[in-house]
Amino acid sequence: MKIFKPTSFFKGLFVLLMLCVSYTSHAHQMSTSYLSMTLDGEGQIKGSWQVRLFDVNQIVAIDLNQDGQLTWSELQANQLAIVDYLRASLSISADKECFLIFDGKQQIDNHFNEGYLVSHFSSNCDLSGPLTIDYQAFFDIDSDHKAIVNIDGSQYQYSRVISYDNPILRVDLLQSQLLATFNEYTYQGIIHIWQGTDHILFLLALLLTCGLFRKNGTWLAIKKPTKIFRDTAWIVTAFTLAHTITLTATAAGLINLESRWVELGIAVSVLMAALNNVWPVVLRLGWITFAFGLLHGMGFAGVLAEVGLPSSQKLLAIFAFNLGVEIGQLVILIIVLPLLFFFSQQHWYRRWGLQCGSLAIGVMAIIWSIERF
Amino acid sequence: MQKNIKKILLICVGACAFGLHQQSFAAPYTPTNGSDVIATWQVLDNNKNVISLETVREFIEQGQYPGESDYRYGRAKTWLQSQLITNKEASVELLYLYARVLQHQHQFDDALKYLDEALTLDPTSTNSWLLKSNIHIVQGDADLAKRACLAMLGSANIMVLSACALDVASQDGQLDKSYQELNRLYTSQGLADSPEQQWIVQMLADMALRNDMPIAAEKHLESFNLETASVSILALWADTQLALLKYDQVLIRLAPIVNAYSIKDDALLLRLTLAEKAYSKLPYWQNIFAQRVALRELRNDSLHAAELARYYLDVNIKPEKALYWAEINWQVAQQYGDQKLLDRANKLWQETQDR
Repeated sequence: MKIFKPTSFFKGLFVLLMLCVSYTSHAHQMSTSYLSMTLDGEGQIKGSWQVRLFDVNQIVAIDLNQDGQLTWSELQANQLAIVDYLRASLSISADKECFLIFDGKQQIDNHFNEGYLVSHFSSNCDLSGPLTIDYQAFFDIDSDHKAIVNIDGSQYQYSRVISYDNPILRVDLLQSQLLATFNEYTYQGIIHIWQGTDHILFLLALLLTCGLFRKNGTWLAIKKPTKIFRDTAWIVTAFTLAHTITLTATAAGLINLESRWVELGIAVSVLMAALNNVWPVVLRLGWITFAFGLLHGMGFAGVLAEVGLPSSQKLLAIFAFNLGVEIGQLVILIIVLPLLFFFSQQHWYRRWGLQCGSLAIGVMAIIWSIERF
Repeated sequence: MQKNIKKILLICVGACAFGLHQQSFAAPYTPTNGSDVIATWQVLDNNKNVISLETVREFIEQGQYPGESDYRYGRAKTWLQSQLITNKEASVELLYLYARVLQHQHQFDDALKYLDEALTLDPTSTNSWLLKSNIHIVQGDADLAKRACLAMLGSANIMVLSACALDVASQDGQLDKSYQELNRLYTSQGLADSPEQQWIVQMLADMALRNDMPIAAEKHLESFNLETASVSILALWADTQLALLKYDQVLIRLAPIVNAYSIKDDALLLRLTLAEKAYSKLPYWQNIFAQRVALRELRNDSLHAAELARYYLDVNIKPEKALYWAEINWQVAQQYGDQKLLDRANKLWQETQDR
């Protein structure tokens, strides 16, 4: 009699059959919605928004008998409440708010083995300006919720991910995708330098003495605006050159310094620059600015990493972000320089204004240094 | 006869896998019948709104086990965020719990920030120091990790402190010595069954596995009941079995655990996929994990970059993607395993370039 031996083939097959039988089809994935829109040249928006029914149930109790088996009739009974929620959670605007009309017809779809509600909407919008999508759905129940956005324009396709940290998406429809990336990253660069108090204070600490020169242990005013302008230009150029080098190198993955040390170094750089105003050691600020500027560049790169780089337009994004930082810096200079020129001509500023301002910056820098250490 | 059985079984499995596959790619439709079931989910006992610190504590505690971890952590995070915004004087526990959520989501720098706040309020918070040490280890900063361990001197159990310091040392070039020392300490102390004891046994198994001693690792893990084990223990157990080439064990023992829950953890799915790839030609888990990978990529999720890198290294071999995800992972996690992963990805990429 032939003995039937379970070969490895049968053992393997047995395992797989067991899995098929035990599989409950409850495979939940991450909370994700899909927002697709088609735009035509006439300002017509047609879109579909697919939201996970599991997520909808967290907001509107659609599973009426709470058995985990959602039926079509249970969903239909809550149709109005769902549409109200969707309408309140999505806002699209160009020059002005685009009124979204949600179609009464709803459908069902499946993504990654999960049931999705498909809602269709349309709008007639003046699309002459940039399109802003303000998405607020489901973040209050799951901050890891994300929306995959696809916009189909007449000439290009645009794909982005909306998340809790970046719930607002801006799309400039009149420009190409390259320009859209360029604008977006330039904007991020400007915003970052404006919001980065440590970078601003570093620059300010360096500029506090730009209208002054040191003679016999006292600060004296420079009378010629051209000289002030030239000195400032040196400092700003050194800072720009340095942070451009490290921002580009870090973003391109050539340097990888731990962010904690970079942030600490930035705080220390602010402190050194401030102290140097009170007890001057270095009077030719160009080189020291360059050295510390290298650290600030790595700090900028950290922000760029958080924003994320589009894989196909990495260089453009880095360049645009850099440019944004420069623009932001230039705006600060335009505001600060005339004031500092005016102050430098005042006796009180040379005697104690500069020192007090520098010490205030120094105290701030010490607090940051302790926090970041 | 045997040939016919093989054929029939293969057809059954094929049909089964095809049916599952089809579920993922259906087109939008309008159900014709009100009683048509359009979605199913596991009814959670805590479907209610998160309203208290106690509930959040429970969510985070349960979040380390297979199942609804993403869901629970997600809800806990939302509640904790709102509390931290409205409550300027947050408690140590609130800060610690938020740091745990952030650590779970690999937002290490932010987690450290909240842990530092917690430790300023209570410098004897052992949990906060342990978490801080763990994060520094993951970030590859052994000095800070060691300092966090030593900061517990006088406030924590000496065994916990020693284990913490030895864990750091094991990641800092003293693996063999640390393992031997921890093993000796553990045997001599004879800890009672407690969370600390489980934590140390898990540490011993991890060290043994890293030290190329999978049999010793397996022995350490014998004390765990896999049915009630956390995801990290299950992943460690599966890695041990994979190292011992016991692929069938991974499939037989891990699959029912993973299938019992609606959310399938990436770490466990990956281990099942690796076992299946080595053991069977039928890509059941591979299909499921491929879907997960597709969704992670679509969402631009970097949270599970290590799993994605291993997937592209060992399952669906794509050198460029493997290197991409290994580099993303290296930006946040710099432990021994992360270094190994990056080296493997670099090597594979180089081999492709040399061809």
